Amino acid sequence: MMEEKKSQFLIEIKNLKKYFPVKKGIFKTSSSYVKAVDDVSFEIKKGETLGLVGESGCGKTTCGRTILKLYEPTSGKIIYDGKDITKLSVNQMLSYRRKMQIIFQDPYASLDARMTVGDIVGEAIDIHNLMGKKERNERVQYLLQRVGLNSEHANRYPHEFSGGQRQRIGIARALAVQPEFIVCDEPISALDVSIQAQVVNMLEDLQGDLGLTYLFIAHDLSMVKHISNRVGVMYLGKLVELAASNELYKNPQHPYTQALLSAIPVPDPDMAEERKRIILEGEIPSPIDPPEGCRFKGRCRFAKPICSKENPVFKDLGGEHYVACHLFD
Amino acid sequence: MDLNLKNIDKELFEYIPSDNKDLNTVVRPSETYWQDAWRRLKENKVATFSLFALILLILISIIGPYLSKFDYRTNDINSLNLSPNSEHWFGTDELGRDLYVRVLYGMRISLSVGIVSALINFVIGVIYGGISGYYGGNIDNIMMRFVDVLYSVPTVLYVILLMVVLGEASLSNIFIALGISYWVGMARIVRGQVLALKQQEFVLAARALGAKNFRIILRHLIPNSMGPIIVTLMMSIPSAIFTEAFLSFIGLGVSAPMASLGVLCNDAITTYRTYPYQLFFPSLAICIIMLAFNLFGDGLRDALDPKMRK
Repeated sequence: MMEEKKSQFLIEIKNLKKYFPVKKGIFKTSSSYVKAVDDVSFEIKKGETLGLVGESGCGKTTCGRTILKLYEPTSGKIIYDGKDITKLSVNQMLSYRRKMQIIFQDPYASLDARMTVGDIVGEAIDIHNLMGKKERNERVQYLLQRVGLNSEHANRYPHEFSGGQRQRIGIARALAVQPEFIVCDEPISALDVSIQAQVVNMLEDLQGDLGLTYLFIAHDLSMVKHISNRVGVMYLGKLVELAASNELYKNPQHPYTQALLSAIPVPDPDMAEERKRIILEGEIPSPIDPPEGCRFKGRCRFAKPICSKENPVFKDLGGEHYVACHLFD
Repeated sequence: MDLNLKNIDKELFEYIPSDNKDLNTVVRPSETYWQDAWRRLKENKVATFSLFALILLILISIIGPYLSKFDYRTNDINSLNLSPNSEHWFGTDELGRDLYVRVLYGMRISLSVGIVSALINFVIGVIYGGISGYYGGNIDNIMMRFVDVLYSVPTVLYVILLMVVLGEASLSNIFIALGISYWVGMARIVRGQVLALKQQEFVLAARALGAKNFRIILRHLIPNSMGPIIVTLMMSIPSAIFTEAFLSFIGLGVSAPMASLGVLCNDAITTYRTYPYQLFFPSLAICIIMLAFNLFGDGLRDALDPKMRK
C-alpha cells in the first residue's frame, strides 16, 4: 500500500531550505540569512499541476529554482521519481536536466539576445548531443510550430518578437529536451491578458499531449485556480496551506489564504458588494532572520499567545487539505 | 468645407476581411546586432571617414614602401639631409636614408604594435575578467585586488621597467611589455559585464538545460559583452601606439636600423631647427593614426551602444 502511494509522486520535496547569506562589513562575514525557502515539504503527482501562490518575495520563485537545483539547497531533500537528487554533482545532474525544465517569468531577459531563435531552441540538443545537424534543425522547426510560431522564425533574433511570441520561444526551448516536469515560473504575469489566455491554453494542451507535470508559480489567483489540480499557498518562505484547487478556493482555512482569496476581483458588481474583503494590516516582515513562531502572527486577526512561541505544524485536516496554523491544534 | 459625418461616401472605404490573417508573421527584415551597429556606424560621417582613413593608412604602410626604389636601411653618403624632392619624396635623414620609406616603415611597426598588443590584452583581459566575474566571491576578490595593485602603478613606468628587465629592445619585447600591462582595463570591463549578465535569466535557462560553465561563458556571456569589449579594444590601440612611440622616443623602443615613428621623431629632434621636415613627417603620421583610431573608436562606441551616446 505504502509502496504504491510512493510511486505516484514524480517529485517529493522534504524540509527544503534555501538561505541566502547577508554579507556585511569589511570581512564579508555572514551573520544573518535571508530565509527565502524555510522548511517546505510537498509532493507533486505524475501528470498533475501544482499551483504555488503567494505575494512578491515569499519565496515561490526561489523554491521552484531550488527544486531544479539552479540554486544549491541549504538543507532538505529533493526526490525525483524515487531518486534523491539533492546531492548530485553537475555531471550527475545532466541526465535530470533533460527531465526537468523551467519556463521563466520575463520573456525579455530569458532569451539570449545574441542568438537566433533556432540556436536558443536547439541549444539543449547541442548540449546533450542528441542528434545530427539536419535532424536538429527539423526538430527546432517542429518545436516552433508546436508552440504556434512559424518554422521560418528560426533564423530571426529574439528582439524581433513580441512578448507573447518570446514566451512561446521559451516554452519551445523547455520542450526541446522532451521533459517530464516543467517549473512554470510566473510564465504569464509579464503578458497582457489576451495573450495570457493563449499561453495558458497552450500549456494545458501540451500537458494533455505530452503528459507533462507542472509546478505552476503565479500570483494571479484566478489563473492558478483554472490550471491547477492542487494549490499551495506560501507566506514568507513557508508553505501555509495546501489543498485541492476547488477545496482551497471554496473552503480556505488559513487566515492568510482567506485574505488572499478575498482579494480576487469579482466581475459582477452586485456580488462584489456583498462580499467582504479582508484587508491585511501591516507590512510583510523582512525575511532576514524572521522571529520565532508563526510568520503570519503580526498580521493575523486571530493571533494567539502561542503563535509567537511555537512554529505551527503542517497538518492534514482530512481529504489532503493541509494547513499550518495554531487555530487547528 | 463642412464635414458631415453622416454623409461620408461609402465608396471611399474598402472592406478587408479580417480572417486568414497570420498574426505571427514578422514582416520586418531580419537584422543582426552587427548589421544594426554597422547601419548606425555608417550614419556617423566622422567615424566612417576615420575608418576609411585607417584602411588607407594600413594599405599605404603595406604597399607604400614598394612604390619607392629605396629601402629603409641603405645609407647613401651622397644624399645626406636632403629636403623633400622628386626623388626622395619626404627627403632623407642624416645618414642618407630615404625618409618616405622610413616613415611608412615606422607606420607599419607602430600599427602592428598597436594591433598585436591590443590582441594580447584582449585575450588576457577577457579570460581574466571572465573568470573573475563569473566565479565571483573570494576568487573575484583576490583577482581584482591583484588588478588594483597593477592599476595603481602608472602603466608607462611599468612598461619602462619591463623593457629594462627584458633587456634587448626588440619588437617582440615591446609586444610582450605592452600586452601584459594593458590588459588591466579590459579585465575590469569584462568582469563588470559578466557580473551584470550572469544574473540574467537566460544564463539560468542555459544552466537548466545543462550547459557547463565553459559553455555559458563562451556562448552567452562573452558574445553579450562583445560591444564594450570591442570599444575598449579599439581605444587601447592608439594608447599602445602612443606608448610605443614614447618608448622609442626615450630610446627603449625598436633598435636601428628598424624605425618606428617614435624613433624617427627622436632622431629628428636634435636637428629640428635645421631640418624641420625630418620631424614633421613622422609626427604628422602619429597624429593622423591617433586621431583616426580615437574618432573611429568613439563612433564605434556610439554604434554598438546607442544608449551611451550623449
